[in-house]
Amino acid sequence: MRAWHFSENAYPYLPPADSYRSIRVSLPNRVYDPAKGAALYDRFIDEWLIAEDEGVEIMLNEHHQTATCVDPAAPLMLAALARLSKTARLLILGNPIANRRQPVRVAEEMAMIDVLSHGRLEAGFVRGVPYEILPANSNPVRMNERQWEALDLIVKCWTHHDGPFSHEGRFFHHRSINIWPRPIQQPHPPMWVSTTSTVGAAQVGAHGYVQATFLTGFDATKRIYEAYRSGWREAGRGQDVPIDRLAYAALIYVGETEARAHAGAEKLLWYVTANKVPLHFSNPPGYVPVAMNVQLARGAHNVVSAYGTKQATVEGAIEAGTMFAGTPDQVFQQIKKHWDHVGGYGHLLIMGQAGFLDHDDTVHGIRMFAREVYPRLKDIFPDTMASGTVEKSNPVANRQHASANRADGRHA
Amino acid sequence: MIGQRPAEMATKSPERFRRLVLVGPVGIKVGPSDKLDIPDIYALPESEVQKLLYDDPERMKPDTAKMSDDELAAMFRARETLALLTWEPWMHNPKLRRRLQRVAAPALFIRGESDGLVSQTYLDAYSRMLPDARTLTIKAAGHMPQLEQPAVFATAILEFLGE
Repeated sequence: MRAWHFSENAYPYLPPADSYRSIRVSLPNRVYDPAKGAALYDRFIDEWLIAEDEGVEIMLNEHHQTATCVDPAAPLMLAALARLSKTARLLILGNPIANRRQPVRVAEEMAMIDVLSHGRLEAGFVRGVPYEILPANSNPVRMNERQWEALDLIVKCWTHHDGPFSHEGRFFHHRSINIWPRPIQQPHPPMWVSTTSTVGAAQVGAHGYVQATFLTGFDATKRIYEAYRSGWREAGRGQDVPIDRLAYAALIYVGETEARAHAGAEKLLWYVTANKVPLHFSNPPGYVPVAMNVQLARGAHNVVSAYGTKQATVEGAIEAGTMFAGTPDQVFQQIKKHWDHVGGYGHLLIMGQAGFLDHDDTVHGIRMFAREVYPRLKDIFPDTMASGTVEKSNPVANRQHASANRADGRHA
Repeated sequence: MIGQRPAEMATKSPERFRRLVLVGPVGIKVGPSDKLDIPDIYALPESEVQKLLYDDPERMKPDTAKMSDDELAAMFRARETLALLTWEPWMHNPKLRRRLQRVAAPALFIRGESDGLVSQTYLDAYSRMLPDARTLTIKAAGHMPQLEQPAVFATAILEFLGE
């Protein structure tokens, strides 16, 4: 089990929410004070480096035209972290690849960071949430097709070393590709892809990339992981899906006392409560399949609105599996319950800073997790385990898991 | 059909058009670069888009509850097609403007008076780029006068075609 400190670099100093229509896309940047923003960048970088000191890896992401994540050029932040950090793995999750016009340029950026960091890059890719469409002026139709053509092209950019090659695909066209530098990690840096659809997860599994899912709780995560494992197996990658192929992102706050944990967790809910986005930004044409839009028109729950519809109380979010919060014991149990329910994963992406959670409380949460919870997770969920052993018997992993459960004293 | 397509066809094969009718057509860029000629319907709530589309949105807006699944699917698929055709450059083809002088047939540009997408200024500028064109504004209609004022619309077209 590997844990990652994920900071979205949010800018929380906003006018009252009823004074604007959307926190994303259209909120005027006049409300952003660059001096306060500079102090926030300093602080968030410090927190990443504290996480590194505690043995936790570093993760960042990219969004555009939004106060929820002021990191619109994540490779720039990653380049800074590549020089400031020394040992942590550096996960960008991710490059919004369906919205990038030149995948070759992305391959160059990632290769450069891999070299700058001496091989610590974990190269993550996301299709891009729907509110990224307008900022990128990117067509929402055929994004999946663009994403997969771009990913295949990027891997080829990294692994082709014999001079220029050409690419004439459906969406991207290059006559002479020969990137410098090439990555340190061979054959290329680890690939991560996030998706919340089962069809997408099966594709990620077929490629063997790490699949990440964000705030999808108990049952949706289980479905996504099952789809990943099916895709993996059907592509002939073997019966066992190592747990390090699967990642889960949750709001996580560990406090010394239950009261302190609860107070910290309340502040993390800023992501849920502040994410005010109207429907026309969250569901542009073609972003979800026609059949799903028909269901939405019939009143189905809109699965594409990332945080907005999630539970907005600490208890509700814990119940939903989107948040793990409490004392070290409580958080360990919550994670274990979720882990068991979904079949197992090897990466925990910790959304450990949000809104008005200040520096001291953020650091307290990082340290309490790293010192009191993380060692127990690494012990009970070693990377040698396979995910989803319930579906297909895997005697070794099952025995390990069973004995770990017994040692833990909660499951006979 | 998006008016841009027949306008493009008429510039490519002018000899095959005897008369050309364009209704609330998009396809050209005439205004300044920092102002959209056609409002961005993807940056507006559906209710505001309906106000741009119709003179009487309450009467005209689609009632999804009464539509079959097939009809709904067709509507959503049409929205995807519209996005594919118009996303970038937004609602226009930069090359069309200087090709419009090739159109040989007499053209009629029609616009609903309440059309919130295609303004009168835009329609007038568009029509002036063709050698032989005139404009017609239909009252109590929006972007689709054929739906809101079908009788007036049909009469106007029949008269034009019969000339």
